[in-house]
Amino acid sequence: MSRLEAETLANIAGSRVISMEMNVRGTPKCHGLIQYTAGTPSSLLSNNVSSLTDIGTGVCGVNLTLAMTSSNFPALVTVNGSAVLNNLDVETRNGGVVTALFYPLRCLSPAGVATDPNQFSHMALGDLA
Amino acid sequence: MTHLFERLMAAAEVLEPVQSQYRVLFELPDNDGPAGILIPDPNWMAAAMAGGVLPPINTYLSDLSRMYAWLAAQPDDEERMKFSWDKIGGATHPYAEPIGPMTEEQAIEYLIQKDLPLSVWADHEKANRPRFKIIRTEMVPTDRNFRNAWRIAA
Repeated sequence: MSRLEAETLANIAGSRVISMEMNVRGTPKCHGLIQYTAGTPSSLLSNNVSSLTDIGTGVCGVNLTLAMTSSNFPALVTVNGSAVLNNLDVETRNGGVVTALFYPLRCLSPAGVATDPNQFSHMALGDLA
Repeated sequence: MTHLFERLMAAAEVLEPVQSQYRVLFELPDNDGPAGILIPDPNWMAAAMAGGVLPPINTYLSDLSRMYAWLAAQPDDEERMKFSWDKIGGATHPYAEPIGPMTEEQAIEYLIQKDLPLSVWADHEKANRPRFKIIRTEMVPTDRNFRNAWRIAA
């Protein structure tokens, strides 16, 4: 299993992402960058993401095109460039939501997802089927 | 056949992302939570509309069905936590023969089956009230003050 850990992240200006510089240790196999545009999450940059699910206040999920290897994999989540979940085991964090293999991040902690219109979230995952 | 991951990477290199004009509003039948909104990913939409990248939807549904069957056969959560695709002979969708181009509307229908729970879209025409609606992007309210009270209008 790969290990994901952020070193440097993101330059932003206002609510618009100008550029994103990221250096992740390990091999992320899935990326999603979620920016709240007028209060609605939208996907800007991604890899292996088919859609986002806006579940409610503070909760936004990422649906993957390709299934992950198992119910346990490392994840990195940042809000406005600051890591809030670093090399976290998603399955553990989600309290065992093993039915969510095709959309594993439905239940990311509300604290781990940007809700402000001027914020963005980024997540990266390791390991694929 | 190249792996789906490689096809997605190659597609993202050459295809211009497509921002869909649609969203999918949905409610889980056995959940009192607010309505969810499915937002298509622009890179995925580009791959779906270009063709030659995504596997047939039935490979996802088949893999998902096998996964649920395996989970249901386990005695407790501790065993269910040990799930991996290797335990059920591997996932089939990564190496399935890709399908051709789809229209934006067909891609949304594909996405509903792939990313929404079966309980939302299966037999939905027989339901007493709508479980999902395909709406235009501009119909999603921008004021999220009462986001957790959003419901699908009957």
